[in-house]
Amino acid sequence: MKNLPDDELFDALETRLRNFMEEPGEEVWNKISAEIPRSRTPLLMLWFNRSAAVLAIVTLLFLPGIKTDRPVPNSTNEFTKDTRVPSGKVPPALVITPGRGNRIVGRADASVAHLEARGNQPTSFDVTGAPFIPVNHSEDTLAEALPGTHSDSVEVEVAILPLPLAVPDSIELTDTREPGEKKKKKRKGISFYSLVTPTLSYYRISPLAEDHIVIERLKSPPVLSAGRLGISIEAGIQGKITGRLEYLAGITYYSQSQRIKYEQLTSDHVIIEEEDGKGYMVRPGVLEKSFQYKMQNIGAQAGLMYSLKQVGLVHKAGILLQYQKGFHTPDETSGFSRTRPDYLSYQLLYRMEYAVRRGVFVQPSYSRSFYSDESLQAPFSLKQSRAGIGLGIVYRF
Amino acid sequence: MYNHYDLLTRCKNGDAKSQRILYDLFKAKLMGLCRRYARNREEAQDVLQEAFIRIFNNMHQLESSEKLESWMKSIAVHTAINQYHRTKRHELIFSPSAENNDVSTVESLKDLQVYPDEFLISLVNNLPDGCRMVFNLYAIEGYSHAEIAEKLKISEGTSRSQFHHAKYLLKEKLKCQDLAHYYEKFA
Repeated sequence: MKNLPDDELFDALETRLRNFMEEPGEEVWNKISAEIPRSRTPLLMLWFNRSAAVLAIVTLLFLPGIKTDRPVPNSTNEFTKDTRVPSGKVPPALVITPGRGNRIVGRADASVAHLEARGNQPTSFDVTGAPFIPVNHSEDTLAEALPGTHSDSVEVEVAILPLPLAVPDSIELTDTREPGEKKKKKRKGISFYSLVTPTLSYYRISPLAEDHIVIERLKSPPVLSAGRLGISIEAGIQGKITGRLEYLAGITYYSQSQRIKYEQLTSDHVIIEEEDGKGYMVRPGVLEKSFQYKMQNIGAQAGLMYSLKQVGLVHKAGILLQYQKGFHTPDETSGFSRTRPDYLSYQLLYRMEYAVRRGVFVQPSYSRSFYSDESLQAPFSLKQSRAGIGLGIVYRF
Repeated sequence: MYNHYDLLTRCKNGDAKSQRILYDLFKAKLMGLCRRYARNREEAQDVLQEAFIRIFNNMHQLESSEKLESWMKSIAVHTAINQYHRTKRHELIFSPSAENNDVSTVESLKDLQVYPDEFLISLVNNLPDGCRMVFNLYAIEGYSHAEIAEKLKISEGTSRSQFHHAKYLLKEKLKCQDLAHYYEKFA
């Protein structure tokens, strides 16, 4: 019974704690919503929507009758009715001369409106028949304000607006932004990444048919050997396209210096063997050759990554297309007989990274060259494959 | 208005609006839970964020909408446990002596109504990490010491002693606070 008050105390405490609720900050949802899967608009649809928007804007800007592409000077205007000229009536001539900041001063032939200017003051008037809207808008039209006036011309301050083909009876255009306030840019989730990858290179050789040289064999070093070592450095940006899909693009540098040994058959010396007293077998001799396969390549790469796991340690798989250009100097030791060869290759990658603002990641990758126009001082061409495990950093802006 | 079944279905389909509704429905409850397990509000928000990401990413695993709340709470608890494993400090486990367990109860301690929720949460937050986890899992969530030992990768004995130590510390803190309250009142 001695513990009863303690039990009551802790029961009460546990109940209070169990029922405790608290509102988290709004930023929590922002972070969650950036990470969770969403139903997505198909890419084709997205592309179509964006294309349609661009097309609509371009069409608006280049509508017939629009004399300028300048923006609306004052975004608070009221369209009262379709001000296009009824068929059969001739619109007044309009000479546009840009001036006065973002306004346009127009001189209109007032033979239709029978208007007369009052000094140089900008005046509001009914713009029936003219494809423009007065900047200074008033209740009364100019014709009403100046009854019975007749003049050949009037200088008015007008804003030229791209009028839609069918304007509703009344549209309020209201800009609630404060003057000078810029529209806040939505964060795009772009990150910077940098990666260093030690690689091991492997080769597939294709003998040249026209040189009549027979390659006996390529003397390859062991699969895991320092003789195959190279280093790749990459840096660039990455950003989200959809919830799980990311693009990445950047520059790449690759360096290696490896000795490639091979044996070719030669007729310069032959091996003669006797065959059981029946005769002699003449075999061509084997000549061992080697050259230094140096590469100093700089290039660009771009590709896509797909997030397989988005929580905790993020797992991504991706593919990159790489273009590299060799910048080493060909000499006796470089193994090249041609300067600045081009290489095209693809890279398959798997990245594991922590989804934090400044994170590190590990990226095993495999690259394979599918095009190269290098010319070697050897009777064959090479297609290189590289595998490595890189360590990189990522910084999210 | 959505019922839980509709809400669950829409969230499974990745409907952004429904995901927000679900978040709004449970954010305060789960934040309260996370506050008990974390050291402070910031850490609790991190746990809450990770828990909701797990919830939305694994929603397809939940078949019955009736279990939605308990499933969400379970995920939040396990996220808090993971956070504990990631960030736990190397503590000297204090084994309370016999007399520590025998602290006499101050009569006025029985009335917790005088203390605001925030104060009680701060008491739990200030417990050592291991004690806080065991206290929450045993006293609030109702796990057994065997289950806690498995989850926290400790022995059952350690779980028991951590729990008793947590109770002792809470009682001591409440007693100090209560005496301070008494002196403030009658000084």
